[in-house]
Amino acid sequence: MSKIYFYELRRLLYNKLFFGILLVSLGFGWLTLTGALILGIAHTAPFSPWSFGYYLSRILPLICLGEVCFLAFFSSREERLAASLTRAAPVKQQRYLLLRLGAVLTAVAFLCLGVSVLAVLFYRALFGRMNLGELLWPGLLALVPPVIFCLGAGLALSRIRPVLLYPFMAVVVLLTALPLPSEMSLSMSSFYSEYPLTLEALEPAFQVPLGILVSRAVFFLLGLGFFLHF
Amino acid sequence: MQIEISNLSMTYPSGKTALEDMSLQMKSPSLIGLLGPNGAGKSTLMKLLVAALLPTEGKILVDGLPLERQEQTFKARLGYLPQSFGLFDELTVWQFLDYMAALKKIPHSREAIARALGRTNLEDQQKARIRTLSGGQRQRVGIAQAILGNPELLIFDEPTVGLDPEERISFRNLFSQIAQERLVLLSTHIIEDIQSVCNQLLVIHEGQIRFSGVPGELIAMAEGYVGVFRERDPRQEAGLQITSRIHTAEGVICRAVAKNLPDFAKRVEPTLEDAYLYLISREVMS
Repeated sequence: MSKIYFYELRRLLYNKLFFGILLVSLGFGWLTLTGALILGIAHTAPFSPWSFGYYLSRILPLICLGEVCFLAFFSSREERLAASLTRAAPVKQQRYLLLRLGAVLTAVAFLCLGVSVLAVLFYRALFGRMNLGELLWPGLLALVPPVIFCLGAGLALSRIRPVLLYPFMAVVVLLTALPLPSEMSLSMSSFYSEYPLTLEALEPAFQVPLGILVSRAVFFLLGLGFFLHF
Repeated sequence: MQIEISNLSMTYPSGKTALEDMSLQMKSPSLIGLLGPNGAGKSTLMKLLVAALLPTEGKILVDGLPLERQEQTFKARLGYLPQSFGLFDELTVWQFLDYMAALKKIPHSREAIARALGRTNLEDQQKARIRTLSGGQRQRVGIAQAILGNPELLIFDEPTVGLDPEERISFRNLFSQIAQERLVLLSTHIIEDIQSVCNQLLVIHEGQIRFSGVPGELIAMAEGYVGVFRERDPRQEAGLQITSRIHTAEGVICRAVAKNLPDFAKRVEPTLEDAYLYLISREVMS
Protein backbone atom coordinates (compact mmCIF):
# COMPACT_ATOMS: atom_id res chain seq x y z
CA MET A 1 0.00 0.00 0.00
CA SER A 2 3.00 2.30 0.36
CA LYS A 3 3.00 2.50 -3.44
CA ILE A 4 -0.49 4.01 -3.38
CA TYR A 5 0.64 6.56 -0.78
CA PHE A 6 3.62 7.61 -2.90
CA TYR A 7 1.50 7.85 -6.05
CA GLU A 8 -1.03 10.03 -4.22
CA LEU A 9 1.75 12.20 -2.86
CA ARG A 10 3.27 12.46 -6.30
CA ARG A 11 -0.11 13.52 -7.72
CA LEU A 12 -0.31 16.31 -5.13
CA LEU A 13 3.31 17.47 -5.37
CA TYR A 14 3.77 17.32 -9.16
CA ASN A 15 0.87 19.64 -9.51
CA LYS A 16 0.42 23.29 -10.51
CA LEU A 17 -1.74 23.75 -7.41
CA PHE A 18 1.04 22.72 -5.02
CA PHE A 19 3.69 24.74 -6.81
CA GLY A 20 1.39 27.77 -6.94
CA ILE A 21 0.63 27.65 -3.21
CA LEU A 22 4.28 27.01 -2.34
CA LEU A 23 5.46 29.95 -4.47
CA VAL A 24 2.84 32.33 -3.07
CA SER A 25 3.64 31.18 0.50
CA LEU A 26 7.38 31.66 -0.03
CA GLY A 27 6.81 35.06 -1.65
CA PHE A 28 4.54 36.22 1.16
CA GLY A 29 6.95 34.70 3.68
CA TRP A 30 9.83 36.67 2.18
CA LEU A 31 7.82 39.90 2.36
CA THR A 32 6.94 39.18 6.00
CA LEU A 33 10.55 38.35 6.89
CA THR A 34 12.00 41.44 5.22
CA GLY A 35 9.14 43.71 6.28
CA ALA A 36 7.47 43.10 9.63
CA LEU A 37 9.87 40.53 11.05
CA ILE A 38 13.25 42.15 10.51
CA LEU A 39 12.47 44.69 13.21
CA GLY A 40 11.40 41.95 15.64
CA ILE A 41 7.90 41.35 16.96
CA ALA A 42 6.79 42.91 20.28
CA HIS A 43 10.28 44.26 20.96
CA THR A 44 11.78 40.78 20.74
CA ALA A 45 14.57 39.68 18.41
CA PRO A 46 13.58 38.83 14.80
CA PHE A 47 14.72 35.24 15.48
CA SER A 48 12.90 34.92 18.80
CA PRO A 49 10.20 32.23 19.17
CA TRP A 50 7.64 35.08 19.34
CA SER A 51 8.76 36.53 16.00
CA PHE A 52 8.97 33.09 14.40
CA GLY A 53 5.47 32.23 15.66
CA TYR A 54 4.18 35.53 14.28
CA TYR A 55 5.82 34.79 10.92
CA LEU A 56 4.12 31.37 10.74
CA SER A 57 0.78 32.82 11.85
CA ARG A 58 0.89 35.28 8.92
CA ILE A 59 1.49 32.47 6.40
CA LEU A 60 -0.93 30.06 8.06
CA PRO A 61 -4.00 31.19 6.02
CA LEU A 62 -2.16 30.20 2.83
CA ILE A 63 -1.13 26.85 4.27
CA CYS A 64 -4.68 26.11 5.46
CA LEU A 65 -6.10 27.21 2.12
CA GLY A 66 -3.62 24.90 0.41
CA GLU A 67 -4.74 22.05 2.62
CA VAL A 68 -8.42 22.62 1.78
CA CYS A 69 -7.46 22.86 -1.92
CA PHE A 70 -5.75 19.45 -1.66
CA LEU A 71 -8.91 18.04 -0.08
CA ALA A 72 -10.95 19.64 -2.90
CA PHE A 73 -8.56 18.02 -5.40
CA PHE A 74 -9.48 14.61 -3.96
CA SER A 75 -13.20 15.42 -4.01
CA SER A 76 -13.36 16.75 -7.58
CA ARG A 77 -15.80 15.32 -10.10
CA GLU A 78 -13.04 13.45 -11.94
CA GLU A 79 -11.86 11.91 -8.66
CA ARG A 80 -15.40 10.83 -7.80
CA LEU A 81 -15.67 9.21 -11.23
CA ALA A 82 -12.34 7.46 -10.68
CA ALA A 83 -13.72 6.18 -7.37
CA SER A 84 -16.01 3.87 -9.38
CA LEU A 85 -12.82 2.00 -10.37
CA THR A 86 -11.00 2.17 -7.04
CA ARG A 87 -14.07 1.05 -5.06
CA ALA A 88 -14.16 -2.17 -7.07
CA ALA A 89 -10.66 -3.03 -5.82
CA PRO A 90 -10.13 -5.34 -2.85
CA VAL A 91 -9.00 -2.62 -0.46
CA LYS A 92 -10.80 -1.37 2.62
CA GLN A 93 -12.12 2.09 1.78
CA GLN A 94 -11.20 3.53 5.19
CA ARG A 95 -7.62 2.40 4.76
CA TYR A 96 -7.53 3.90 1.29
CA LEU A 97 -8.92 7.19 2.62
CA LEU A 98 -6.28 7.21 5.37
CA LEU A 99 -3.55 6.80 2.76
CA ARG A 100 -4.89 9.72 0.79
CA LEU A 101 -5.20 11.90 3.90
CA GLY A 102 -1.65 10.91 4.77
CA ALA A 103 -0.59 12.23 1.38
CA VAL A 104 -2.49 15.50 2.02
CA LEU A 105 -0.81 15.90 5.41
CA THR A 106 2.60 15.19 3.87
CA ALA A 107 2.00 17.81 1.16
CA VAL A 108 0.99 20.30 3.89
CA ALA A 109 4.12 19.33 5.85
CA PHE A 110 6.19 20.16 2.75
CA LEU A 111 4.53 23.60 2.60
CA CYS A 112 5.28 24.17 6.31
CA LEU A 113 8.82 22.92 5.84
CA GLY A 114 9.30 25.21 2.85
CA VAL A 115 8.32 28.39 4.72
CA SER A 116 10.25 27.29 7.84
CA VAL A 117 13.41 26.61 5.82
CA LEU A 118 13.03 30.05 4.23
CA ALA A 119 12.93 31.65 7.68
CA VAL A 120 15.92 29.64 8.90
CA LEU A 121 17.97 30.58 5.83
CA PHE A 122 16.99 34.22 6.38
CA TYR A 123 18.06 34.03 10.05
CA ARG A 124 21.32 32.27 9.17
CA ALA A 125 22.14 34.84 6.50
CA LEU A 126 21.51 37.80 8.82
CA PHE A 127 22.32 36.54 12.29
CA GLY A 128 24.62 33.54 11.77
CA ARG A 129 24.36 30.39 13.90
CA MET A 130 21.39 30.19 16.22
CA ASN A 131 19.50 27.69 18.35
CA LEU A 132 16.86 26.26 16.04
CA GLY A 133 15.53 23.95 18.76
CA GLU A 134 13.78 26.81 20.52
CA LEU A 135 11.73 27.49 17.37
CA LEU A 136 10.27 23.99 17.35
CA TRP A 137 7.61 24.45 20.05
CA PRO A 138 6.21 27.76 18.69
CA GLY A 139 6.28 26.19 15.23
CA LEU A 140 4.30 23.14 16.32
CA LEU A 141 1.89 25.27 18.36
CA ALA A 142 1.26 27.60 15.41
CA LEU A 143 0.83 24.92 12.75
CA VAL A 144 -0.38 21.58 14.11
CA PRO A 145 -3.79 22.48 15.67
CA PRO A 146 -5.01 24.58 12.69
CA VAL A 147 -3.78 21.98 10.16
CA ILE A 148 -5.57 19.14 12.01
CA PHE A 149 -8.73 21.26 12.41
CA CYS A 150 -8.83 22.10 8.70
CA LEU A 151 -8.17 18.48 7.75
CA GLY A 152 -10.97 17.11 9.95
CA ALA A 153 -13.52 19.82 9.18
CA GLY A 154 -12.65 19.78 5.46
CA LEU A 155 -12.99 16.01 5.33
CA ALA A 156 -16.36 16.16 7.10
CA LEU A 157 -17.67 18.82 4.71
CA SER A 158 -16.39 17.00 1.63
CA ARG A 159 -18.20 13.87 2.84
CA ILE A 160 -21.46 15.80 3.25
CA ARG A 161 -21.09 17.65 -0.07
CA PRO A 162 -17.79 18.36 -1.81
CA VAL A 163 -18.95 21.81 -2.91
CA LEU A 164 -19.02 22.87 0.78
CA LEU A 165 -15.22 22.97 0.71
CA TYR A 166 -15.36 26.24 -1.23
CA PRO A 167 -17.31 28.24 1.41
CA PHE A 168 -15.08 26.52 3.97
CA MET A 169 -12.07 28.16 2.30
CA ALA A 170 -13.69 31.53 3.08
CA VAL A 171 -14.33 30.44 6.68
CA VAL A 172 -10.67 29.43 7.03
CA VAL A 173 -9.54 32.84 5.76
CA LEU A 174 -11.91 34.58 8.18
CA LEU A 175 -10.77 32.44 11.12
CA THR A 176 -7.14 33.21 10.36
CA ALA A 177 -7.22 36.76 9.02
CA LEU A 178 -9.92 38.52 11.06
CA PRO A 179 -8.74 40.32 14.23
CA LEU A 180 -10.42 37.78 16.50
CA PRO A 181 -9.35 37.18 20.12
CA SER A 182 -6.31 34.86 20.07
CA GLU A 183 -8.32 32.01 21.61
CA MET A 184 -10.80 32.07 18.71
CA SER A 185 -8.36 32.72 15.92
CA LEU A 186 -6.81 29.85 13.98
CA SER A 187 -3.62 31.82 13.40
CA MET A 188 -3.54 33.78 16.71
CA SER A 189 -1.11 36.33 15.27
CA SER A 190 -2.22 38.87 17.92
CA PHE A 191 -0.99 36.45 20.62
CA TYR A 192 2.56 36.63 19.25
CA SER A 193 2.49 40.39 18.75
CA GLU A 194 0.68 41.44 21.95
CA TYR A 195 1.18 38.85 24.68
CA PRO A 196 4.97 39.37 25.06
CA LEU A 197 4.30 43.06 25.80
CA THR A 198 2.23 42.08 28.82
CA LEU A 199 5.10 40.05 30.30
CA GLU A 200 7.10 43.18 31.18
CA ALA A 201 10.47 41.73 30.23
CA LEU A 202 12.90 42.84 27.56
CA GLU A 203 13.27 39.48 25.80
CA PRO A 204 10.66 37.25 27.48
CA ALA A 205 11.00 33.50 27.19
CA PHE A 206 8.37 31.82 25.07
CA GLN A 207 5.43 30.85 27.26
CA VAL A 208 1.82 30.03 26.48
CA PRO A 209 -1.07 30.91 28.82
CA LEU A 210 -3.57 28.21 29.69
CA GLY A 211 -6.38 29.84 27.66
CA ILE A 212 -4.33 29.61 24.48
CA LEU A 213 -3.28 26.05 25.23
CA VAL A 214 -6.91 25.07 25.79
CA SER A 215 -8.04 26.79 22.58
CA ARG A 216 -5.31 24.98 20.57
CA ALA A 217 -6.35 21.69 22.16
CA VAL A 218 -9.98 22.44 21.23
CA PHE A 219 -9.06 23.10 17.58
CA PHE A 220 -6.94 19.95 17.53
CA LEU A 221 -9.61 17.77 19.14
CA LEU A 222 -12.36 19.22 16.97
CA GLY A 223 -10.35 18.32 13.89
CA LEU A 224 -9.66 14.86 15.25
CA GLY A 225 -13.32 14.43 16.20
CA PHE A 226 -14.53 15.37 12.70
CA PHE A 227 -11.96 13.04 11.23
CA LEU A 228 -12.98 10.09 13.39
CA HIS A 229 -16.70 10.73 12.97
CA PHE A 230 -16.60 10.94 9.17
CA MET B 1 -17.14 -19.08 -10.60
CA GLN B 2 -20.87 -19.25 -10.13
CA ILE B 3 -23.11 -16.31 -9.33
CA GLU B 4 -26.66 -16.81 -8.20
CA ILE B 5 -29.00 -13.87 -7.93
CA SER B 6 -32.29 -14.48 -6.18
CA ASN B 7 -35.27 -12.16 -5.82
CA LEU B 8 -33.06 -9.12 -6.18
CA SER B 9 -34.76 -5.73 -5.91
CA MET B 10 -33.26 -2.29 -5.79
CA THR B 11 -35.17 0.87 -4.95
CA TYR B 12 -33.17 4.08 -4.73
CA PRO B 13 -33.75 6.54 -1.86
CA SER B 14 -35.57 8.77 -4.38
CA GLY B 15 -38.20 6.03 -4.62
CA LYS B 16 -37.25 4.89 -8.11
CA THR B 17 -37.36 1.12 -8.48
CA ALA B 18 -34.48 0.08 -10.71
CA LEU B 19 -34.71 -3.70 -10.29
CA GLU B 20 -37.65 -5.80 -9.25
CA ASP B 21 -37.55 -9.39 -8.03
CA MET B 22 -34.79 -10.49 -10.36
CA SER B 23 -33.47 -14.05 -10.27
CA LEU B 24 -30.62 -15.31 -12.39
CA GLN B 25 -27.71 -17.74 -12.53
CA MET B 26 -24.36 -17.18 -14.21
CA LYS B 27 -21.55 -19.69 -14.45
CA SER B 28 -18.09 -19.54 -15.97
CA PRO B 29 -16.98 -19.96 -18.69
CA SER B 30 -19.51 -17.73 -20.35
CA LEU B 31 -19.88 -14.42 -22.14
CA ILE B 32 -23.22 -12.98 -21.22
CA GLY B 33 -24.61 -10.03 -23.14
CA LEU B 34 -26.87 -7.63 -21.30
CA LEU B 35 -29.34 -5.68 -23.40
CA GLY B 36 -32.04 -3.23 -22.51
CA PRO B 37 -33.21 0.31 -23.15
CA ASN B 38 -31.77 3.25 -21.22
CA GLY B 39 -32.94 3.18 -17.61
CA ALA B 40 -33.84 -0.51 -17.79
CA GLY B 41 -31.67 -1.35 -14.76
CA LYS B 42 -28.54 -2.76 -16.45
CA SER B 43 -26.08 -0.44 -14.71
CA THR B 44 -27.84 -0.91 -11.37
CA LEU B 45 -27.50 -4.69 -11.74
CA MET B 46 -23.80 -4.26 -12.48
CA LYS B 47 -23.29 -1.94 -9.50
CA LEU B 48 -25.00 -4.49 -7.26
CA LEU B 49 -22.75 -7.22 -8.66
CA VAL B 50 -19.59 -5.25 -7.83
CA ALA B 51 -20.90 -4.39 -4.34
CA ALA B 52 -21.03 -0.68 -5.16
CA LEU B 53 -24.69 -0.74 -4.06
CA LEU B 54 -26.57 -2.76 -1.49
CA PRO B 55 -29.82 -4.36 -2.66
CA THR B 56 -33.02 -3.39 -0.89
CA GLU B 57 -34.19 -7.01 -1.16
CA GLY B 58 -32.85 -10.36 -2.30
CA LYS B 59 -29.35 -11.76 -2.30
CA ILE B 60 -26.35 -12.40 -4.47
CA LEU B 61 -24.44 -15.62 -3.85
CA VAL B 62 -20.94 -16.10 -5.22
CA ASP B 63 -19.88 -19.73 -5.21
CA GLY B 64 -22.61 -20.35 -2.66
CA LEU B 65 -21.63 -17.58 -0.22
CA PRO B 66 -23.36 -14.21 0.18
CA LEU B 67 -21.47 -11.43 -1.60
CA GLU B 68 -21.48 -9.08 1.40
CA ARG B 69 -19.69 -11.71 3.54
CA GLN B 70 -16.80 -12.04 1.10
CA GLU B 71 -16.63 -8.59 -0.44
CA GLN B 72 -12.85 -8.25 -0.35
CA THR B 73 -12.07 -11.73 -1.66
CA PHE B 74 -14.76 -11.33 -4.33
CA LYS B 75 -13.28 -8.02 -5.46
CA ALA B 76 -9.87 -9.67 -5.75
CA ARG B 77 -11.45 -11.90 -8.43
CA LEU B 78 -13.20 -9.04 -10.22
CA GLY B 79 -12.38 -6.74 -13.13
CA TYR B 80 -14.86 -3.93 -13.63
CA LEU B 81 -15.33 -1.18 -16.17
CA PRO B 82 -18.26 1.12 -15.35
CA GLN B 83 -20.15 3.11 -17.95
CA SER B 84 -18.65 6.40 -16.83
CA PHE B 85 -15.35 6.46 -15.01
CA GLY B 86 -12.50 8.81 -14.29
CA LEU B 87 -8.75 8.34 -14.55
CA PHE B 88 -5.90 10.13 -12.82
CA ASP B 89 -4.91 12.63 -15.49
CA GLU B 90 -1.55 13.50 -13.87
CA LEU B 91 -0.24 9.94 -14.17
CA THR B 92 1.06 8.17 -17.24
CA VAL B 93 -0.80 5.13 -18.56
CA TRP B 94 1.82 2.82 -17.05
CA GLN B 95 1.75 4.59 -13.69
CA PHE B 96 -2.05 4.44 -13.57
CA LEU B 97 -2.02 0.70 -14.26
CA ASP B 98 0.73 0.27 -11.64
CA TYR B 99 -1.48 2.19 -9.17
CA MET B 100 -4.47 -0.03 -9.96
CA ALA B 101 -2.31 -3.17 -9.74
CA ALA B 102 -1.16 -2.09 -6.26
CA LEU B 103 -4.75 -1.37 -5.25
CA LYS B 104 -5.87 -4.77 -6.56
CA LYS B 105 -2.86 -6.42 -4.86
CA ILE B 106 -1.83 -8.11 -8.09
CA PRO B 107 1.38 -10.12 -7.76
CA HIS B 108 4.07 -9.71 -10.45
CA SER B 109 2.49 -6.43 -11.45
CA ARG B 110 5.07 -5.53 -14.11
CA GLU B 111 4.23 -8.62 -16.17
CA ALA B 112 0.49 -8.10 -15.59
CA ILE B 113 0.72 -4.48 -16.76
CA ALA B 114 2.76 -5.41 -19.82
CA ARG B 115 0.16 -8.06 -20.72
CA ALA B 116 -2.76 -5.65 -20.25
CA LEU B 117 -1.00 -2.96 -22.31
CA GLY B 118 -0.40 -5.48 -25.09
CA ARG B 119 -3.97 -6.77 -25.11
CA THR B 120 -5.40 -3.25 -25.28
CA ASN B 121 -2.86 -2.04 -27.84
CA LEU B 122 -1.59 0.70 -25.54
CA GLU B 123 2.13 -0.13 -25.61
CA ASP B 124 2.96 3.03 -27.57
CA GLN B 125 1.03 5.21 -25.13
CA GLN B 126 2.35 3.68 -21.90
CA LYS B 127 4.53 6.71 -21.14
CA ALA B 128 1.91 9.26 -22.21
CA ARG B 129 0.14 11.27 -19.52
CA ILE B 130 -3.52 10.31 -19.33
CA ARG B 131 -4.62 13.92 -19.86
CA THR B 132 -3.09 13.78 -23.36
CA LEU B 133 -5.09 10.71 -24.47
CA SER B 134 -8.08 10.70 -26.82
CA GLY B 135 -11.49 9.45 -25.69
CA GLY B 136 -10.93 6.05 -27.31
CA GLN B 137 -7.50 5.69 -25.72
CA ARG B 138 -8.94 6.54 -22.28
CA GLN B 139 -11.58 3.87 -22.85
CA ARG B 140 -8.78 1.41 -23.64
CA VAL B 141 -7.02 2.36 -20.39
CA GLY B 142 -10.31 1.60 -18.61
CA ILE B 143 -10.45 -1.83 -20.26
CA ALA B 144 -6.75 -2.43 -19.46
CA GLN B 145 -7.27 -1.79 -15.74
CA ALA B 146 -10.27 -4.16 -15.76
CA ILE B 147 -8.34 -7.07 -17.30
CA LEU B 148 -5.24 -6.49 -15.10
CA GLY B 149 -4.25 -9.68 -13.35
CA ASN B 150 -6.62 -11.83 -15.43
CA PRO B 151 -9.61 -11.73 -13.03
CA GLU B 152 -12.13 -14.57 -12.90
CA LEU B 153 -15.12 -12.29 -13.40
CA LEU B 154 -15.20 -9.35 -15.78
CA ILE B 155 -18.02 -6.85 -15.83
CA PHE B 156 -18.04 -4.35 -18.67
CA ASP B 157 -20.63 -1.60 -18.87
CA GLU B 158 -20.64 -0.15 -22.39
CA PRO B 159 -16.94 -0.93 -22.95
CA THR B 160 -16.82 -0.11 -26.65
CA VAL B 161 -18.19 3.43 -26.40
CA GLY B 162 -15.83 5.85 -28.13
CA LEU B 163 -13.87 3.16 -29.94
CA ASP B 164 -13.54 3.14 -33.72
CA PRO B 165 -15.01 0.12 -35.60
CA GLU B 166 -11.66 -1.62 -35.93
CA GLU B 167 -10.93 -1.27 -32.21
CA ARG B 168 -14.46 -2.39 -31.37
CA ILE B 169 -14.02 -5.61 -33.35
CA SER B 170 -10.62 -6.18 -31.77
CA PHE B 171 -12.06 -5.73 -28.27
CA ARG B 172 -15.04 -7.95 -28.77
CA ASN B 173 -12.60 -10.64 -29.95
CA LEU B 174 -10.59 -10.01 -26.79
CA PHE B 175 -13.71 -10.40 -24.63
CA SER B 176 -14.50 -13.62 -26.46
CA GLN B 177 -10.97 -14.96 -25.81
CA ILE B 178 -11.17 -14.04 -22.14
CA ALA B 179 -14.58 -15.71 -21.83
CA GLN B 180 -13.16 -19.08 -22.91
CA GLU B 181 -12.16 -19.64 -19.30
CA ARG B 182 -13.81 -16.78 -17.40
CA LEU B 183 -17.18 -15.28 -16.73
CA VAL B 184 -17.72 -12.06 -18.67
CA LEU B 185 -20.78 -9.86 -18.36
CA LEU B 186 -21.04 -7.35 -21.16
CA SER B 187 -23.61 -4.59 -21.27
CA THR B 188 -23.90 -2.69 -24.53
CA HIS B 189 -26.28 -0.92 -26.84
CA ILE B 190 -24.43 -2.31 -29.83
CA ILE B 191 -26.41 -5.42 -30.64
CA GLU B 192 -23.87 -6.46 -33.27
CA ASP B 193 -21.27 -6.87 -30.49
CA ILE B 194 -23.57 -9.21 -28.60
CA GLN B 195 -24.54 -11.16 -31.71
CA SER B 196 -20.87 -11.67 -32.59
CA VAL B 197 -19.51 -12.96 -29.32
CA CYS B 198 -22.07 -13.66 -26.61
CA ASN B 199 -23.20 -17.21 -25.93
CA GLN B 200 -25.90 -16.07 -23.55
CA LEU B 201 -28.20 -13.10 -23.66
CA LEU B 202 -30.19 -11.26 -21.01
CA VAL B 203 -32.74 -8.64 -21.91
CA ILE B 204 -33.76 -6.33 -19.09
CA HIS B 205 -36.69 -3.97 -19.31
CA GLU B 206 -38.21 -1.90 -16.52
CA GLY B 207 -36.07 -3.64 -13.90
CA GLN B 208 -37.07 -7.18 -14.87
CA ILE B 209 -35.55 -9.90 -17.00
CA ARG B 210 -37.64 -10.24 -20.17
CA PHE B 211 -35.46 -12.79 -21.87
CA SER B 212 -32.68 -15.13 -20.81
CA GLY B 213 -31.20 -17.64 -23.22
CA VAL B 214 -29.05 -17.97 -26.29
CA PRO B 215 -29.33 -15.26 -28.96
CA GLY B 216 -30.75 -17.81 -31.44
CA GLU B 217 -33.74 -18.41 -29.19
CA LEU B 218 -34.60 -14.73 -29.15
CA ILE B 219 -34.30 -14.61 -32.94
CA ALA B 220 -36.61 -17.62 -33.22
CA MET B 221 -39.19 -15.82 -31.05
CA ALA B 222 -39.40 -13.01 -33.61
CA GLU B 223 -39.88 -15.24 -36.65
CA GLY B 224 -42.95 -14.20 -38.60
CA TYR B 225 -43.00 -10.76 -37.03
CA VAL B 226 -40.41 -9.02 -39.24
CA GLY B 227 -41.11 -7.84 -42.76
CA VAL B 228 -39.95 -5.46 -45.47
CA PHE B 229 -42.01 -3.26 -47.75
CA ARG B 230 -41.61 -0.36 -50.15
CA GLU B 231 -42.87 2.86 -48.64
CA ARG B 232 -45.76 4.41 -50.59
CA ASP B 233 -47.69 6.24 -47.93
CA PRO B 234 -46.39 7.29 -44.48
CA ARG B 235 -49.71 6.07 -43.02
CA GLN B 236 -48.56 2.54 -43.87
CA GLU B 237 -46.23 2.72 -40.86
CA ALA B 238 -48.96 3.03 -38.26
CA GLY B 239 -48.61 0.30 -35.63
CA LEU B 240 -45.26 -0.84 -37.00
CA GLN B 241 -41.87 -0.54 -35.37
CA ILE B 242 -39.60 0.56 -38.23
CA THR B 243 -36.07 -0.80 -37.75
CA SER B 244 -34.49 0.53 -40.96
CA ARG B 245 -35.23 2.71 -43.99
CA ILE B 246 -33.00 2.18 -46.99
CA HIS B 247 -33.11 4.61 -49.90
CA THR B 248 -32.81 2.70 -53.17
CA ALA B 249 -33.38 3.49 -56.86
CA GLU B 250 -36.87 1.94 -56.57
CA GLY B 251 -37.80 4.00 -53.52
CA VAL B 252 -37.52 3.67 -49.75
CA ILE B 253 -37.41 0.08 -48.49
CA CYS B 254 -38.61 -0.18 -44.89
CA ARG B 255 -37.93 -2.99 -42.48
CA ALA B 256 -40.52 -3.32 -39.73
CA VAL B 257 -41.34 -5.34 -36.67
CA ALA B 258 -44.93 -5.86 -35.53
CA LYS B 259 -47.07 -8.39 -33.71
CA ASN B 260 -49.48 -8.33 -36.69
CA LEU B 261 -47.60 -7.67 -39.90
CA PRO B 262 -49.74 -6.09 -42.67
CA ASP B 263 -50.26 -8.04 -45.93
CA PHE B 264 -48.13 -5.65 -47.98
CA ALA B 265 -45.03 -6.54 -45.90
CA LYS B 266 -42.94 -9.47 -47.07
CA ARG B 267 -41.87 -11.65 -44.17
CA VAL B 268 -38.08 -11.98 -43.74
CA GLU B 269 -35.60 -13.69 -41.39
CA PRO B 270 -35.24 -11.60 -38.22
CA THR B 271 -31.87 -10.38 -37.00
CA LEU B 272 -31.01 -10.13 -33.31
CA GLU B 273 -31.75 -6.40 -33.48
CA ASP B 274 -35.20 -7.10 -34.95
CA ALA B 275 -35.82 -9.72 -32.27
CA TYR B 276 -34.77 -7.37 -29.50
CA LEU B 277 -37.00 -4.60 -30.83
CA TYR B 278 -39.85 -7.05 -31.23
CA LEU B 279 -39.47 -8.13 -27.60
CA ILE B 280 -39.33 -4.59 -26.27
CA SER B 281 -42.12 -3.24 -28.52
CA ARG B 282 -44.31 -6.21 -27.56
CA GLU B 283 -43.80 -5.27 -23.92
CA VAL B 284 -44.62 -1.63 -24.61
CA MET B 285 -47.75 -2.49 -26.64
CA SER B 286 -49.03 -4.97 -24.08
